[in-house]
Amino acid sequence: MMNLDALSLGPKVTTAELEPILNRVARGERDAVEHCLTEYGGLVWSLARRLSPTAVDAEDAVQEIFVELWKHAKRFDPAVAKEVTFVAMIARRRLIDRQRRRSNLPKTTEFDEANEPLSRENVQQQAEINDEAARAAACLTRLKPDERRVLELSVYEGQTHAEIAKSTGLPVGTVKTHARRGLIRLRELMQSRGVSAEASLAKGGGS
Amino acid sequence: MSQNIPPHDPLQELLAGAALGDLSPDELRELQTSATPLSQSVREAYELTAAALDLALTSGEQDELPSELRQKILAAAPGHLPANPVVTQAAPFTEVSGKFTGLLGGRELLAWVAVAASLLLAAFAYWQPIDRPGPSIVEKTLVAQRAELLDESATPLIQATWAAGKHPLEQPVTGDVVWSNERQEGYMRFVGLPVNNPQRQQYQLWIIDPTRDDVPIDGGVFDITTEGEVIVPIRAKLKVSDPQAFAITVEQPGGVVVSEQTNLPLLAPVASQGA
Repeated sequence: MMNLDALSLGPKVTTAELEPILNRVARGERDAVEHCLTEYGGLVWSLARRLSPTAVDAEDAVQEIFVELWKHAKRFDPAVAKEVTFVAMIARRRLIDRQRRRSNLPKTTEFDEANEPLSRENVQQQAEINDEAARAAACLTRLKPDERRVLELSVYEGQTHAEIAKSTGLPVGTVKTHARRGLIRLRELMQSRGVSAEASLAKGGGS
Repeated sequence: MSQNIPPHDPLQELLAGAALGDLSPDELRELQTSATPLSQSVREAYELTAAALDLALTSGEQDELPSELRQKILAAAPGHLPANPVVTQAAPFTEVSGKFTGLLGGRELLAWVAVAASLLLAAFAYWQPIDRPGPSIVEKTLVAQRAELLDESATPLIQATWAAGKHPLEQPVTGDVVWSNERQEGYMRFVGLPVNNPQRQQYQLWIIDPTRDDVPIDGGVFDITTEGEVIVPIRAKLKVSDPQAFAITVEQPGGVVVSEQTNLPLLAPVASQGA
């Protein structure tokens, strides 16, 4: 009798290995839309709540964001970024556009949950779930303290230069420079870290 | 440095500012008038960086998307998706002639089927029916053909239920096989079989028929292009006389002549024989 156990076990075929959700959305697959909402609905909703002045505005924003996602799904390239990062980018882009349109409205919201950026330790823990986020967290620590703080307030809380200047005591012009040069520097650090990781992997080491 | 825009070019800071959403109206106008494909690419690179940082700074559990909002988004989605969605009908078979040899033959074949039947009984308790949306409009053609086979066959059909094979998938797959020896026609039905990338891997059907020189019959290569329920017609390369089981392996694009059986996720032993 043949010994089935003698057969070598091959790798399991997993859905994650097979195709990104957005590629299937781009082809118009209805099931992929549901899958995308299940996977990223919470992320987009959390982003919208954080960067919108009211609950109603956040709901409108989420609907706009997913429409943008359906339209831009075909542009997603897994070689450029993780799918979750791409989704967060589309969400932030739409939320920033909405902020620009209502620039005269106050930023404070009815969402009173703590939105303070994390301590360095918690940032590292959270970033473990996404290696791109992990790289961002690690590279963030290499910025100057003022640049880091300004960037955190700009990215995470969506504060304006004036608001950041008020909370940090820095001149508005300095805030503007710190935010933009901080992001430029962060991008450079992430790119060089990514190249180092790839080179390390190519040599057979870990990242 | 970011693509080919010089590192200290003021445009770099404008693009970073755009990614942060902190441009003044004058800066926004300036950026819009100087936009190029390169600058758009650099801007998106900064937007991805800001998004990665945002993800890193996010604390604790994400809020769950409210169900009413989810339903609104789902209801509106069809109006924003491509006009010609991918059909759920499996891709046409690739012609692969060959035999499934090497590890199985004769008595080993029947022994394999016996083990498969016991696997079916052991695995059945762990499977739950999966509620899935119905097949797409295009797929109804195959659905109709399968239904016609089920309703109109003069002789009893051979039917088998999919069970986990030697290398189960992460998520359970349900479905069945119906086959008519008289018509030499049959259909596989899958619910939950993962979508494959045909440039990397394809599914291949094998029909175990001991009357055929102790080697399984190549049932052809197919692709799964969407989740949910999928109907795949069987295109056996040789006449099937006495099928004892149906097996699915995952193979290289185009299938194989001889399967190494290193990835055998599904097996459907025949519980009862038709005439």
